[in-house]
Amino acid sequence: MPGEQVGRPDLPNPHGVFVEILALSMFAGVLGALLGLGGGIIIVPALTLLVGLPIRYAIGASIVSVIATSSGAAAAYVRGGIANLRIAIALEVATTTGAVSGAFIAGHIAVRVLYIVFGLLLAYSAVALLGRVRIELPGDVPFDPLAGRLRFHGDYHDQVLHRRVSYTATAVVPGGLMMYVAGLMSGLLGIGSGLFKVLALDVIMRLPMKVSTATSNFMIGVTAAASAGVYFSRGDIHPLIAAPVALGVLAGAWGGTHVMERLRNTTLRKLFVPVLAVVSVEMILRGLGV
Amino acid sequence: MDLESSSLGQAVPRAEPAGGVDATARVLGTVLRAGVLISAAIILLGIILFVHRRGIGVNLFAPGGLPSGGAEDPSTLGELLNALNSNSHVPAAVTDIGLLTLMITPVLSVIVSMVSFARARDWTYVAFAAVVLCMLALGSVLERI
Repeated sequence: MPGEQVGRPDLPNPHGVFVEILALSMFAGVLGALLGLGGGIIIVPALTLLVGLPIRYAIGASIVSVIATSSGAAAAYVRGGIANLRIAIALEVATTTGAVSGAFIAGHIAVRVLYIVFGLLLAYSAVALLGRVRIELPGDVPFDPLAGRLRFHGDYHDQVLHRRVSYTATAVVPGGLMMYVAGLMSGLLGIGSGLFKVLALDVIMRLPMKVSTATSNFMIGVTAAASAGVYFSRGDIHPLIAAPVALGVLAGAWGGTHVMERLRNTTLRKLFVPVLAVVSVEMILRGLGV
Repeated sequence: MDLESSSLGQAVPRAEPAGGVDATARVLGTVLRAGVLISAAIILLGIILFVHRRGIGVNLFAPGGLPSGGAEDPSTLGELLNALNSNSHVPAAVTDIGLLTLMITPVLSVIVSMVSFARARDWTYVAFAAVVLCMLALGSVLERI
């Protein structure tokens, strides 16, 4: 086929690339479904560094990955009653507002500074979370009248504890602010907003970890959908790359939801902290231009 | 409904109490699952067409296998329709339709929640969902400028 050759002749084994992307995406899907992340933190470095694809296609693929994780995982979590719809929809107001303001100020702000600031914030959260690693359930939390008014409460059946767990959110305003930051981050950097959502729900609003990751999973897709159209019309979402990513992530996320329900909240935290630490280091390094 | 009945572990259907959120959750779960399954099926079809077009053992990522922009990688609705009509770029167009179906699924979930909250006369949450939809619309307009 003459012309239009944007191939990668230097690729050692092109035949395996499709399968390679599929496998990496499945891993990203499992981890994303477990931890409430979109998998962008895995997809972007994996596709650029391991597979050697151009960064714009990797970022386009990561948007697809976020939406696939979100929809694939949320389909199970919403039906299973683990994701809290009210909390998700109400806090989406904060994240989408954050994403839009991010789009407004993008270009007027030094991205490298942002990487450092957000990276340090994540590093601090990782340390803060270390102290909470052993907490299985939040127990009684301080009463927040706003949480009562918005009916930020619920219950789910915990397959590990073999009982229904009831919970109520606290600190709605600080949680909402953190969600706004999560939105800002996805609007400005396009990465890592799932981490902030889980932190807002788990550390600030004190929801059970499973409810936090499941609710975050539902939310990240909505935030990502806002920018997906732009990436698509720019041609960054390449069918041959995005297709295996979508299928791999969907399969991984589907499998991940089954695993997640059988894990302890403490196990999820133990998985979450190292991911948080790695991403914070990654961001700080990128900010420093290393 | 009670705990004993679900001690077997997974996949034990539980009777849920009537109420706005549970009804919403059921509808929403169905919409999300449908969006995921339909988009996955279309994407899979697109890949099969790619392989069919270029033969078994195809090297999708060889030079020329990774088209960028233009009719081979439709990125607007017009290009998508042209690609479907022109026959030669059908695999990419079909795959893109699958990807677009996946991409609108979260937006659809917000719309469905809004309708569901409206039926439960939960106006605060109808307003929340409406704001989210406005922000999504605003965001897509902003980034195009």
